[in-house]
Amino acid sequence: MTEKEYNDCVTLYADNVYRFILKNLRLEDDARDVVQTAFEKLWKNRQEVDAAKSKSYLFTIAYHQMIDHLRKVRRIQLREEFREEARVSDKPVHNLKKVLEEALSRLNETQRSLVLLKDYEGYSYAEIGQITGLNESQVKVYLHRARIQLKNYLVRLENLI
Amino acid sequence: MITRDNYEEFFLLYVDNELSATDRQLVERFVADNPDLGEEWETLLQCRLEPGQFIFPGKEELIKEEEDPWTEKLFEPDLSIVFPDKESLYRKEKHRRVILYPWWRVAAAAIVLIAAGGYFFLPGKKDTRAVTPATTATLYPTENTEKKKPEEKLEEKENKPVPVMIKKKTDPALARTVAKERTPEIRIIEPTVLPQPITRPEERSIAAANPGEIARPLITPEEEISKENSSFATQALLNNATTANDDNNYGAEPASQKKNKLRGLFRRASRVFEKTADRDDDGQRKVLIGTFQFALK
Repeated sequence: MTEKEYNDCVTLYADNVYRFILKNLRLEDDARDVVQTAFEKLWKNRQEVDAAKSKSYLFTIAYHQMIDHLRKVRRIQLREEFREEARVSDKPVHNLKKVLEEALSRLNETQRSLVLLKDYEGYSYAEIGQITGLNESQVKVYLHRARIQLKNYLVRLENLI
Repeated sequence: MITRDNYEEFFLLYVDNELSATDRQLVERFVADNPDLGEEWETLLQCRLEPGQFIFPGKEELIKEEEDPWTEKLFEPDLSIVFPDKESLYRKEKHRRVILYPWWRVAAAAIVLIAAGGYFFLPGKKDTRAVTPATTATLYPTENTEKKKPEEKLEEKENKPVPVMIKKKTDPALARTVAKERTPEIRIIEPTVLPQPITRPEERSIAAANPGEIARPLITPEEEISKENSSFATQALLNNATTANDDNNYGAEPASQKKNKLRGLFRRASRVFEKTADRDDDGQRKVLIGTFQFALK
Protein backbone atom coordinates (compact mmCIF):
# COMPACT_ATOMS: atom_id res chain seq x y z
CA MET A 1 0.00 0.00 0.00
CA THR A 2 1.35 3.34 -1.04
CA GLU A 3 0.95 6.66 0.67
CA LYS A 4 -1.73 7.65 -1.79
CA GLU A 5 -3.63 4.40 -1.28
CA TYR A 6 -3.49 4.88 2.45
CA ASN A 7 -4.81 8.42 2.18
CA ASP A 8 -7.50 7.20 -0.17
CA CYS A 9 -8.37 4.65 2.46
CA VAL A 10 -8.76 7.46 4.96
CA THR A 11 -11.02 9.37 2.64
CA LEU A 12 -13.19 6.37 1.74
CA TYR A 13 -13.36 4.34 4.94
CA ALA A 14 -12.70 6.61 7.91
CA ASP A 15 -16.39 7.52 8.21
CA ASN A 16 -17.46 3.90 7.82
CA VAL A 17 -15.11 2.66 10.50
CA TYR A 18 -16.07 5.49 12.78
CA ARG A 19 -19.77 4.74 12.34
CA PHE A 20 -19.24 1.07 13.00
CA ILE A 21 -17.22 1.73 16.15
CA LEU A 22 -19.48 4.52 17.38
CA LYS A 23 -22.59 2.34 17.03
CA ASN A 24 -20.87 -0.27 19.13
CA LEU A 25 -19.27 1.94 21.81
CA ARG A 26 -21.85 4.73 21.82
CA LEU A 27 -19.10 7.13 22.98
CA GLU A 28 -17.62 9.47 20.42
CA ASP A 29 -14.25 10.03 22.10
CA ASP A 30 -13.65 6.34 22.59
CA ALA A 31 -14.75 5.65 19.03
CA ARG A 32 -12.41 8.34 17.77
CA ASP A 33 -9.44 6.92 19.66
CA VAL A 34 -10.14 3.45 18.34
CA VAL A 35 -10.33 4.71 14.76
CA GLN A 36 -7.13 6.69 15.05
CA THR A 37 -5.34 3.69 16.50
CA ALA A 38 -6.65 1.51 13.69
CA PHE A 39 -5.38 3.89 11.02
CA GLU A 40 -2.01 4.20 12.77
CA LYS A 41 -1.60 0.45 12.61
CA LEU A 42 -2.63 0.46 8.98
CA TRP A 43 0.02 3.09 8.26
CA LYS A 44 2.72 1.16 10.02
CA ASN A 45 1.87 -2.06 8.23
CA ARG A 46 1.09 -0.50 4.88
CA GLN A 47 3.96 -2.35 3.22
CA GLU A 48 2.32 -5.70 3.97
CA VAL A 49 -1.27 -4.67 3.23
CA ASP A 50 -2.79 -5.11 -0.18
CA ALA A 51 -4.71 -2.04 -1.25
CA ALA A 52 -7.64 -4.18 -2.46
CA LYS A 53 -8.08 -5.62 1.03
CA SER A 54 -7.39 -2.45 2.90
CA LYS A 55 -11.03 -1.91 3.93
CA SER A 56 -11.50 -5.34 5.53
CA TYR A 57 -8.04 -5.05 7.08
CA LEU A 58 -9.01 -1.70 8.55
CA PHE A 59 -12.30 -3.03 9.92
CA THR A 60 -10.54 -6.05 11.35
CA ILE A 61 -8.08 -3.87 13.21
CA ALA A 62 -10.83 -1.56 14.40
CA TYR A 63 -13.04 -4.42 15.53
CA HIS A 64 -10.36 -6.06 17.66
CA GLN A 65 -9.26 -2.71 18.96
CA MET A 66 -12.82 -2.04 19.98
CA ILE A 67 -13.13 -5.41 21.72
CA ASP A 68 -9.94 -4.72 23.66
CA HIS A 69 -11.19 -1.28 24.52
CA LEU A 70 -14.51 -2.62 25.78
CA ARG A 71 -12.81 -5.21 27.91
CA LYS A 72 -10.47 -2.66 29.44
CA VAL A 73 -12.82 0.27 29.86
CA ARG A 74 -15.99 -1.56 30.63
CA ARG A 75 -17.60 0.26 33.49
CA ILE A 76 -20.56 -0.27 35.73
CA GLN A 77 -21.73 3.18 34.84
CA LEU A 78 -22.13 2.07 31.26
CA ARG A 79 -24.29 -0.82 32.33
CA GLU A 80 -26.49 1.52 34.33
CA GLU A 81 -26.93 3.64 31.27
CA PHE A 82 -28.13 0.62 29.39
CA ARG A 83 -30.66 -0.07 32.09
CA GLU A 84 -31.88 3.51 32.00
CA GLU A 85 -32.18 3.35 28.27
CA ALA A 86 -34.06 0.09 28.62
CA ARG A 87 -36.52 1.75 30.88
CA VAL A 88 -36.80 4.67 28.54
CA SER A 89 -37.39 2.32 25.66
CA ASP A 90 -40.48 1.18 27.35
CA LYS A 91 -41.98 4.48 26.45
CA PRO A 92 -43.83 4.68 23.17
CA VAL A 93 -41.39 5.42 20.35
CA HIS A 94 -42.82 6.23 16.98
CA ASN A 95 -39.55 6.77 15.26
CA LEU A 96 -38.58 3.40 13.81
CA LYS A 97 -34.95 4.37 13.49
CA LYS A 98 -34.61 5.16 17.17
CA VAL A 99 -36.51 2.01 18.07
CA LEU A 100 -34.05 -0.02 16.05
CA GLU A 101 -31.11 1.67 17.70
CA GLU A 102 -32.58 0.85 21.05
CA ALA A 103 -33.16 -2.73 19.93
CA LEU A 104 -29.57 -2.84 18.63
CA SER A 105 -28.21 -1.71 21.96
CA ARG A 106 -29.88 -4.68 23.56
CA LEU A 107 -27.83 -7.10 21.50
CA ASN A 108 -24.50 -8.39 22.68
CA GLU A 109 -21.32 -7.01 21.18
CA THR A 110 -20.85 -9.81 18.71
CA GLN A 111 -24.44 -9.74 17.44
CA ARG A 112 -24.37 -5.99 17.18
CA SER A 113 -21.14 -6.03 15.25
CA LEU A 114 -22.48 -8.68 12.90
CA VAL A 115 -25.65 -6.68 12.20
CA LEU A 116 -23.68 -3.47 11.69
CA LEU A 117 -21.16 -5.09 9.39
CA LYS A 118 -23.98 -6.69 7.42
CA ASP A 119 -26.36 -3.78 7.19
CA TYR A 120 -23.97 -0.84 7.17
CA GLU A 121 -21.08 -2.22 5.18
CA GLY A 122 -22.85 -4.99 3.23
CA TYR A 123 -20.18 -7.59 4.00
CA SER A 124 -20.96 -11.20 3.25
CA TYR A 125 -20.98 -13.89 5.88
CA ALA A 126 -17.51 -14.94 4.80
CA GLU A 127 -16.10 -11.42 5.03
CA ILE A 128 -17.73 -10.84 8.40
CA GLY A 129 -16.22 -14.13 9.53
CA GLN A 130 -12.74 -12.88 8.51
CA ILE A 131 -13.18 -9.61 10.35
CA THR A 132 -14.57 -11.01 13.55
CA GLY A 133 -12.64 -14.24 13.58
CA LEU A 134 -15.73 -16.43 13.31
CA ASN A 135 -16.49 -19.02 10.70
CA GLU A 136 -19.20 -18.48 8.15
CA SER A 137 -21.76 -20.75 9.82
CA GLN A 138 -21.30 -19.01 13.14
CA VAL A 139 -21.80 -15.65 11.51
CA LYS A 140 -24.97 -16.85 9.86
CA VAL A 141 -26.42 -18.32 13.06
CA TYR A 142 -25.46 -15.38 15.24
CA LEU A 143 -26.79 -12.92 12.71
CA HIS A 144 -30.13 -14.70 12.32
CA ARG A 145 -30.55 -14.79 16.05
CA ALA A 146 -29.87 -11.07 16.19
CA ARG A 147 -32.46 -10.41 13.48
CA ILE A 148 -35.13 -12.41 15.23
CA GLN A 149 -34.30 -10.63 18.47
CA LEU A 150 -34.70 -7.26 16.77
CA LYS A 151 -37.94 -8.37 15.16
CA ASN A 152 -39.33 -9.58 18.42
CA TYR A 153 -38.43 -6.24 19.98
CA LEU A 154 -40.28 -4.40 17.25
CA VAL A 155 -43.29 -6.72 17.49
CA ARG A 156 -43.42 -6.35 21.21
CA LEU A 157 -43.18 -2.58 20.90
CA GLU A 158 -45.99 -2.51 18.35
CA ASN A 159 -48.12 -4.57 20.64
CA LEU A 160 -47.50 -2.03 23.41
CA ILE A 161 -48.50 0.77 21.14
CA MET B 1 -37.99 -25.19 -2.33
CA ILE B 2 -39.56 -22.80 0.14
CA THR B 3 -42.18 -24.25 2.44
CA ARG B 4 -43.98 -23.04 5.51
CA ASP B 5 -41.47 -24.98 7.61
CA ASN B 6 -38.28 -23.36 6.26
CA TYR B 7 -39.55 -19.99 5.05
CA GLU B 8 -38.04 -18.14 8.10
CA GLU B 9 -34.48 -18.99 7.05
CA PHE B 10 -35.27 -17.88 3.50
CA PHE B 11 -36.69 -14.65 4.84
CA LEU B 12 -33.53 -14.02 6.94
CA LEU B 13 -31.25 -14.82 4.03
CA TYR B 14 -33.32 -12.47 1.93
CA VAL B 15 -32.88 -9.66 4.53
CA ASP B 16 -29.15 -10.37 4.75
CA ASN B 17 -28.93 -10.21 0.98
CA GLU B 18 -27.39 -13.66 0.82
CA LEU B 19 -29.72 -15.09 -1.81
CA SER B 20 -29.31 -15.15 -5.51
CA ALA B 21 -31.67 -13.27 -7.70
CA THR B 22 -33.59 -16.47 -8.50
CA ASP B 23 -34.01 -17.34 -4.83
CA ARG B 24 -35.07 -13.82 -4.11
CA GLN B 25 -37.82 -14.14 -6.66
CA LEU B 26 -38.85 -17.48 -5.14
CA VAL B 27 -39.11 -15.84 -1.72
CA GLU B 28 -41.14 -12.92 -3.09
CA ARG B 29 -43.45 -15.38 -4.87
CA PHE B 30 -43.79 -17.47 -1.69
CA VAL B 31 -44.77 -14.37 0.31
CA ALA B 32 -47.28 -13.44 -2.33
CA ASP B 33 -48.72 -16.94 -2.22
CA ASN B 34 -48.90 -16.83 1.62
CA PRO B 35 -50.44 -13.51 2.66
CA ASP B 36 -50.73 -14.55 6.31
CA LEU B 37 -46.91 -14.45 6.48
CA GLY B 38 -46.80 -10.93 5.01
CA GLU B 39 -46.80 -9.13 8.40
CA GLU B 40 -43.90 -11.15 9.66
CA TRP B 41 -42.17 -10.58 6.36
CA GLU B 42 -42.58 -6.80 6.66
CA THR B 43 -41.32 -6.77 10.24
CA LEU B 44 -38.11 -8.54 9.23
CA LEU B 45 -37.56 -6.07 6.47
CA GLN B 46 -37.81 -3.23 9.02
CA CYS B 47 -35.08 -4.84 11.09
CA ARG B 48 -32.46 -3.83 8.56
CA LEU B 49 -30.46 -0.88 9.68
CA GLU B 50 -30.07 2.03 7.41
CA PRO B 51 -26.58 3.49 7.40
CA GLY B 52 -27.04 7.02 8.55
CA GLN B 53 -24.78 9.94 7.72
CA PHE B 54 -21.71 9.69 9.88
CA ILE B 55 -18.66 11.89 9.41
CA PHE B 56 -15.46 11.17 11.23
CA PRO B 57 -14.38 14.44 12.85
CA GLY B 58 -10.62 13.89 12.85
CA LYS B 59 -10.16 12.79 9.29
CA GLU B 60 -7.51 15.44 8.52
CA GLU B 61 -5.37 14.11 11.32
CA LEU B 62 -5.21 10.74 9.67
CA ILE B 63 -3.75 12.04 6.42
CA LYS B 64 -0.11 11.05 6.22
CA GLU B 65 2.86 12.18 4.17
CA GLU B 66 5.78 9.92 3.68
CA GLU B 67 9.03 11.45 4.85
CA ASP B 68 11.77 11.42 2.29
CA PRO B 69 14.99 10.78 4.15
CA TRP B 70 17.05 12.46 1.41
CA THR B 71 15.12 15.69 1.35
CA GLU B 72 14.43 15.81 5.05
CA LYS B 73 16.06 18.78 6.66
CA LEU B 74 18.61 17.74 9.14
CA PHE B 75 19.10 19.29 12.52
CA GLU B 76 21.26 22.34 12.54
CA PRO B 77 24.37 21.82 14.70
CA ASP B 78 24.49 23.93 17.82
CA LEU B 79 28.08 25.13 17.85
CA SER B 80 27.64 26.96 21.11
CA ILE B 81 27.74 23.69 23.00
CA VAL B 82 31.33 23.01 24.00
CA PHE B 83 32.63 20.16 26.07
CA PRO B 84 34.00 21.82 29.22
CA ASP B 85 36.70 19.36 30.29
CA LYS B 86 38.41 18.74 27.02
CA GLU B 87 41.88 18.68 28.59
CA SER B 88 41.05 15.52 30.45
CA LEU B 89 40.42 13.75 27.17
CA TYR B 90 43.84 14.28 25.66
CA ARG B 91 46.01 11.20 25.74
CA LYS B 92 49.62 10.53 25.02
CA GLU B 93 50.49 7.28 23.47
CA LYS B 94 52.84 5.17 25.55
CA HIS B 95 56.07 4.06 23.99
CA ARG B 96 55.95 0.51 23.03
CA ARG B 97 58.32 -1.77 24.79
CA VAL B 98 59.86 -4.30 22.51
CA ILE B 99 59.91 -7.66 24.15
CA LEU B 100 61.99 -10.17 22.29
CA TYR B 101 61.44 -13.84 22.36
CA PRO B 102 63.99 -15.80 24.41
CA TRP B 103 65.73 -17.24 21.37
CA TRP B 104 65.99 -13.75 19.91
CA ARG B 105 67.77 -12.61 23.04
CA VAL B 106 70.20 -15.48 22.85
CA ALA B 107 70.84 -14.79 19.17
CA ALA B 108 71.43 -11.09 19.83
CA ALA B 109 73.88 -11.86 22.64
CA ALA B 110 75.73 -14.33 20.41
CA ILE B 111 76.02 -11.75 17.63
CA VAL B 112 77.44 -9.18 20.04
CA LEU B 113 79.94 -11.64 21.43
CA ILE B 114 81.06 -12.75 17.99
CA ALA B 115 81.46 -9.15 16.84
CA ALA B 116 83.43 -8.21 19.94
CA GLY B 117 85.59 -11.30 19.67
CA GLY B 118 86.27 -10.64 16.04
CA TYR B 119 87.29 -7.11 16.78
CA PHE B 120 89.74 -7.99 19.52
CA PHE B 121 91.12 -11.29 18.31
CA LEU B 122 91.38 -10.93 14.58
CA PRO B 123 95.13 -10.67 13.75
CA GLY B 124 94.81 -7.80 11.31
CA LYS B 125 93.09 -5.57 13.79
CA LYS B 126 95.47 -6.35 16.55
CA ASP B 127 98.56 -5.68 14.47
CA THR B 128 97.25 -2.41 13.23
CA ARG B 129 96.81 -1.20 16.77
CA ALA B 130 100.32 -2.33 17.67
CA VAL B 131 102.06 -0.50 14.85
CA THR B 132 104.20 2.32 16.08
CA PRO B 133 104.04 5.76 14.50
CA ALA B 134 107.36 5.09 12.81
CA THR B 135 105.95 1.97 11.26
CA THR B 136 102.77 3.58 10.07
CA ALA B 137 104.83 6.23 8.45
CA THR B 138 106.24 3.76 5.97
CA LEU B 139 105.56 4.28 2.34
CA TYR B 140 104.46 0.76 1.70
CA PRO B 141 100.87 -0.17 2.18
CA THR B 142 100.10 -2.78 4.74
CA GLU B 143 97.31 -5.31 4.67
CA ASN B 144 95.11 -3.27 6.93
CA THR B 145 95.82 0.12 5.57
CA GLU B 146 94.85 -1.01 2.12
CA LYS B 147 91.28 -0.83 3.24
CA LYS B 148 91.53 2.92 3.31
CA LYS B 149 91.29 4.98 0.22
CA PRO B 150 94.62 5.27 -1.61
CA GLU B 151 94.58 9.06 -1.64
CA GLU B 152 94.09 9.29 2.12
CA LYS B 153 96.89 6.88 2.82
CA LEU B 154 99.29 8.73 0.60
CA GLU B 155 98.56 12.01 2.28
CA GLU B 156 99.34 10.53 5.63
CA LYS B 157 102.60 9.14 4.39
CA GLU B 158 103.67 12.40 2.86
CA ASN B 159 103.07 14.44 5.95
CA LYS B 160 104.73 12.20 8.47
CA PRO B 161 108.49 11.87 8.75
CA VAL B 162 110.08 8.50 8.41
CA PRO B 163 112.72 8.29 11.05
CA VAL B 164 115.32 5.62 10.93
CA MET B 165 115.78 4.20 14.34
CA ILE B 166 119.47 4.42 15.14
CA LYS B 167 120.03 5.26 18.71
CA LYS B 168 123.04 6.91 20.15
CA LYS B 169 124.42 4.94 22.93
CA THR B 170 125.38 6.88 25.99
CA ASP B 171 126.66 3.98 27.96
CA PRO B 172 130.19 4.79 29.24
CA ALA B 173 131.53 1.37 28.50
CA LEU B 174 130.26 1.46 25.00
CA ALA B 175 131.54 4.98 24.50
CA ARG B 176 134.92 3.98 25.60
CA THR B 177 135.00 1.06 23.26
CA VAL B 178 133.80 3.10 20.29
CA ALA B 179 136.30 5.79 20.95
CA LYS B 180 139.16 3.37 20.56
CA GLU B 181 137.87 1.88 17.38
CA ARG B 182 136.66 3.65 14.27
CA THR B 183 133.06 3.27 14.88
CA PRO B 184 130.75 4.03 12.01
CA GLU B 185 128.95 7.32 12.06
CA ILE B 186 125.29 6.71 12.31
CA ARG B 187 122.97 9.49 11.31
CA ILE B 188 119.31 9.92 11.54
CA ILE B 189 117.81 10.27 8.18
CA GLU B 190 115.52 13.22 7.96
CA PRO B 191 112.28 13.04 6.04
CA THR B 192 113.71 15.48 3.55
CA VAL B 193 115.69 12.74 1.91
CA LEU B 194 112.48 10.95 0.99
CA PRO B 195 111.51 10.89 -2.63
CA GLN B 196 108.78 13.04 -3.99
CA PRO B 197 105.23 12.18 -2.88
CA ILE B 198 103.67 9.37 -4.76
CA THR B 199 100.19 10.27 -5.81
CA ARG B 200 99.21 7.28 -7.86
CA PRO B 201 98.98 3.64 -6.88
CA GLU B 202 101.21 2.58 -9.77
CA GLU B 203 104.00 4.76 -8.55
CA ARG B 204 103.52 3.48 -5.07
CA SER B 205 103.84 -0.08 -6.21
CA ILE B 206 107.02 0.76 -8.04
CA ALA B 207 108.41 2.32 -4.95
CA ALA B 208 107.52 -0.70 -2.95
CA ALA B 209 109.51 -2.87 -5.29
CA ASN B 210 112.77 -1.09 -4.28
CA PRO B 211 112.40 -0.15 -0.71
CA GLY B 212 116.10 -0.13 -0.01
CA GLU B 213 116.63 2.78 -2.35
CA ILE B 214 114.22 4.95 -0.56
CA ALA B 215 115.15 4.59 3.06
CA ARG B 216 118.32 3.12 4.24
CA PRO B 217 120.82 4.19 6.86
CA LEU B 218 123.31 6.34 5.19
CA ILE B 219 126.61 4.75 5.97
CA THR B 220 129.25 5.71 3.52
CA PRO B 221 131.70 3.11 2.23
CA GLU B 222 134.61 4.73 4.02
CA GLU B 223 132.65 4.51 7.21
CA GLU B 224 132.00 0.81 6.84
CA ILE B 225 133.95 -1.15 9.35
CA SER B 226 135.26 -4.57 8.74
CA LYS B 227 134.35 -7.27 11.15
CA GLU B 228 137.92 -7.91 12.03
CA ASN B 229 138.54 -4.30 13.03
CA SER B 230 135.35 -3.76 14.94
CA SER B 231 134.64 -4.82 18.39
CA PHE B 232 131.98 -7.31 19.30
CA ALA B 233 129.77 -4.59 20.70
CA THR B 234 130.21 -2.42 17.68
CA GLN B 235 129.17 -5.15 15.35
CA ALA B 236 126.16 -5.85 17.48
CA LEU B 237 125.33 -2.19 17.40
CA LEU B 238 125.62 -2.08 13.65
CA ASN B 239 123.53 -5.15 13.27
CA ASN B 240 120.99 -3.64 15.51
CA ALA B 241 120.97 -0.48 13.49
CA THR B 242 120.57 -2.44 10.31
CA THR B 243 117.85 -4.48 11.85
CA ALA B 244 116.12 -1.38 13.05
CA ASN B 245 116.39 0.08 9.61
CA ASP B 246 114.93 -2.99 8.12
CA ASP B 247 112.19 -2.92 10.64
CA ASN B 248 111.38 0.61 9.72
CA ASN B 249 111.27 -0.15 6.07
CA TYR B 250 109.52 -3.46 6.11
CA GLY B 251 107.80 -3.42 9.45
CA ALA B 252 104.46 -2.92 7.88
CA GLU B 253 104.66 -6.06 5.84
CA PRO B 254 102.49 -8.89 7.08
CA ALA B 255 105.31 -11.42 7.39
CA SER B 256 107.47 -9.19 9.59
CA GLN B 257 104.52 -8.17 11.73
CA LYS B 258 104.22 -11.62 13.08
CA LYS B 259 107.83 -11.53 14.18
CA ASN B 260 107.62 -8.19 15.91
CA LYS B 261 107.15 -9.66 19.29
CA LEU B 262 110.04 -12.06 19.11
CA ARG B 263 112.25 -9.50 17.47
CA GLY B 264 111.54 -6.99 20.19
CA LEU B 265 112.35 -9.60 22.77
CA PHE B 266 115.64 -10.40 21.11
CA ARG B 267 116.42 -6.74 20.82
CA ARG B 268 115.98 -6.21 24.50
CA ALA B 269 118.19 -9.14 25.26
CA SER B 270 120.87 -7.88 22.91
CA ARG B 271 120.78 -4.47 24.55
CA VAL B 272 121.47 -6.09 27.86
CA PHE B 273 124.46 -7.80 26.44
CA GLU B 274 125.59 -4.67 24.61
CA LYS B 275 125.55 -2.67 27.75
CA THR B 276 127.66 -5.07 29.67
CA ALA B 277 129.66 -6.95 27.05
CA ASP B 278 133.32 -6.06 27.04
CA ARG B 279 136.40 -7.21 25.28
CA ASP B 280 139.38 -8.62 26.91
CA ASP B 281 141.41 -5.46 26.84
CA ASP B 282 143.02 -5.74 30.14
CA GLY B 283 144.64 -9.09 29.40
CA GLN B 284 142.82 -10.94 32.05
CA ARG B 285 141.52 -13.41 29.53
CA LYS B 286 137.95 -12.64 30.59
CA VAL B 287 134.94 -11.44 28.70
CA LEU B 288 131.96 -9.88 30.44
CA ILE B 289 128.63 -10.60 28.79
CA GLY B 290 125.71 -9.28 30.71
CA THR B 291 126.03 -10.38 34.23
CA PHE B 292 128.06 -13.34 33.21
CA GLN B 293 131.85 -13.35 32.99
CA PHE B 294 133.42 -15.87 30.72
CA ALA B 295 137.07 -16.95 30.83
CA LEU B 296 138.89 -16.95 27.51
CA LYS B 297 141.19 -19.76 26.54
